[in-house]
Amino acid sequence: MASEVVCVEQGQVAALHEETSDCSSQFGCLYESPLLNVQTLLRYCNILALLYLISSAITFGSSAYTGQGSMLDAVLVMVDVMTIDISSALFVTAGLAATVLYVGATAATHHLLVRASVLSMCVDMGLATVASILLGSLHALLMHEFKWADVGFTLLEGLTTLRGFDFQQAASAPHSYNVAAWPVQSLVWCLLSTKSVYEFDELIVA
Amino acid sequence: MALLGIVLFTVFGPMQASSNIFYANACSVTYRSMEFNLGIHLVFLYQRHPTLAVVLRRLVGKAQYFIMLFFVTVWWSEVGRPVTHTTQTTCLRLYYRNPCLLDHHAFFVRGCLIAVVLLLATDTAAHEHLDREMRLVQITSTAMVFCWPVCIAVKLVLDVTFGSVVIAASRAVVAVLCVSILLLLSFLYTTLLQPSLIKEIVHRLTRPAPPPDSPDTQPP
Repeated sequence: MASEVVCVEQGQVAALHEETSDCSSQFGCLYESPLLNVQTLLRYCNILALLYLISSAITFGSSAYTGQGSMLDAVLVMVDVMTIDISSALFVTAGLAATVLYVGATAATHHLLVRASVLSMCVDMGLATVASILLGSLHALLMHEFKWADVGFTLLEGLTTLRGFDFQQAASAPHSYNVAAWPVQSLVWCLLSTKSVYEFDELIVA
Repeated sequence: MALLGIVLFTVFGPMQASSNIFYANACSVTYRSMEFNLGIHLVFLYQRHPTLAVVLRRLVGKAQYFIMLFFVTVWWSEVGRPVTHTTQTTCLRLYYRNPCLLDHHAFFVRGCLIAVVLLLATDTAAHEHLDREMRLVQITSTAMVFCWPVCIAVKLVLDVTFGSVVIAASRAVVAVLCVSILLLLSFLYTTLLQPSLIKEIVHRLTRPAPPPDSPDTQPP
């Protein structure tokens, strides 16, 4: 399957590289997959993620989160619909890219990539949780909506990276202060399951 | 088979509009992992049935601009729709404070269609700038995690500097500023801070335990 070696420079991969593989440089080595162009798939992921960021910034600027009338309310429903569509597309495309990387890489390289990605996401989540609790609490205090339950909930979601506890819209139910981080929280668990899902597919067809 | 779960949530979410079905699943790992797994199954099928993939690729190649136009039209048609912010009712909504949506807004399968079109529009050429795309993925994923805190920080700083009345009148500019600052900070963070942080964490996790008679384990 593999024909040509493509070396991928990545900070975390380089940091973790000492433990693995035959590559002689400070790079993680990926084998080129003839299946689909993973570079194009990753570019699609980046474009969708950028659109998600723009829609999140617009959502934050609406009167729902700032407490004052906002001109962005005129596009808020459009942004919500766009976010629903874009996030679905982002997850499917991320699944495509992760699988093509899995198929094209050796087991050791794939393990290294997943480990580096998950580790960087978890570190980011940890720092973002601290920042969200501090800034989110301040923001909630200014809007007279501070709840200790929200602080605990944000901490729980940040530490476990599990976005599944916020299942009630009620005002009394706790809600996270880091509203827009859910795609990354879900992707952590999705990335970890890529290998087993693909192997299960092979098992069914075999 | 892979689509069954997604279709189930797409149908039952809007059908039970006054329940929490859509709200609980829209951002949940359980539902989103189904979409991610759909991507895995699609690649698997793509590998198994290359002839079908070629036929579909030709078909989508002709129709992709119409499909994209359809999505832009769907989104554009919602511009100017009035919103009422209430957190008291249970309805179809994305986040806790967001406005209530109509049935046809909360349609998960539509987003999966975009991904299928993107898959079929993807070429099989060799990788040339994979490292650059991986680096960008790292930056955008960090930006997604830090989006909300950075937006809050930017708003607070601008409110203090220029006054909340001026900032309230310029929310669109603030949104553009938020995204720009967020991407810049994410780039700086992933370049300067994140590698050393991860290195330190990996070093601490993989460090062997000190022997029993070492000074670290001796009582003072």
